[in-house]
Amino acid sequence: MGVVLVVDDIEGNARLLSSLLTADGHSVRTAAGGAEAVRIVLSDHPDLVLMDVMMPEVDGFEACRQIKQEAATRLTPVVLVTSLNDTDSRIRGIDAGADDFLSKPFNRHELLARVRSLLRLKHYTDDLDTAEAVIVSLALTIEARDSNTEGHCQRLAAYAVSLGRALGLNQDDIAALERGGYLHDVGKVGIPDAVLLKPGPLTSDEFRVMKQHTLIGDRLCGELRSLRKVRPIVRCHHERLDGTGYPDGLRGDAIPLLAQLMGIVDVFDALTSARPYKAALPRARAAEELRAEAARGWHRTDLVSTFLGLVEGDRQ
Amino acid sequence: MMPDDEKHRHDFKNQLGIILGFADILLTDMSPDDGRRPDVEEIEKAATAALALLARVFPDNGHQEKP
Repeated sequence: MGVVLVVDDIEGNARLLSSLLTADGHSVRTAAGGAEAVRIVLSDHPDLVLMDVMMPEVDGFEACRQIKQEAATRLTPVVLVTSLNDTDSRIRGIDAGADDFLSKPFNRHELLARVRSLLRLKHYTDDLDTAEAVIVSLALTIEARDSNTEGHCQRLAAYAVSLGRALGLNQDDIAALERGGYLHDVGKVGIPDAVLLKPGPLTSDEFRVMKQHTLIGDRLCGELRSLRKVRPIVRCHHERLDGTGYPDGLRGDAIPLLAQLMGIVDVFDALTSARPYKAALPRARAAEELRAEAARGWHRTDLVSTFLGLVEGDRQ
Repeated sequence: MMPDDEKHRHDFKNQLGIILGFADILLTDMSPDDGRRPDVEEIEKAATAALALLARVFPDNGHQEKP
């Protein structure tokens, strides 16, 4: 069951489809042309679009193309309804991004079966988005739990994205860095308050517990295909080039690049933020500290320089 | 753009599709012993015959699917 947008310039056709779909339990909206359809899809996000191909002005192909061009509506299934049963118009439809076709006059059972199947798929992709939204809210809950880290996730996402851009990374990597900024510490959800919120340095036992957050976070993201590129950031952002980091003690290039970048911006943000047991360092002091860590062999010097170039440029 | 004949055939087919579709809805909603059922079945039969006639008068040149 879902909200179906029926688009047809012939009122009788639109009414026929509405009657059939309403009887099958769907909610139906109608539009009389392609331009109106695109407007409704962008503003109201129906679950499915059932659209006539031959309409004056903006036809079904063009409207379909516009719907599929927008990131927000790309996953909305579009079925083109046509009495042109020929191969050419199907190819044009596929080029425009149509998900399925129905020929007029259509068979009622075929129509309803296709609509149900595409709606199932739509609800499934909606759930995928929702699962990611749940994980992000989880990450923000952790930030809320530890008031010292307020704004940390958002700042990290911003730092990591500008560093990624400065290094000329591709769009996928940039997107992963942004999500990684929010999700890098999601595993802290599994760390007890006594350790997470302790107002002072941790004992070695407590630190062992704290280190688990990288593994817990990795497991949490594990099931989500959309977080494929974010997982290595979550797991490896505390690794160090010389192998003294955690959880796996990886060395050098074995540490994924995106995780190295997150590690650098994470340290910088921690240094420049106040904690109950330490004051915030001025940016210049934090930059010195970060350079010292690179000299010690923990981070790549070139990446640290690029990042500090950005932050120092920011200050002027 | 499409030639006039094809445009007319398309429009005609559309209208017949609407008649057929609503006749189908009525038949589905009616109980099997409804006295009006034979009347609606006549509507459906006539519209189906008109579709077949249309295919003969204006052959569907664009139709490339195998029978």
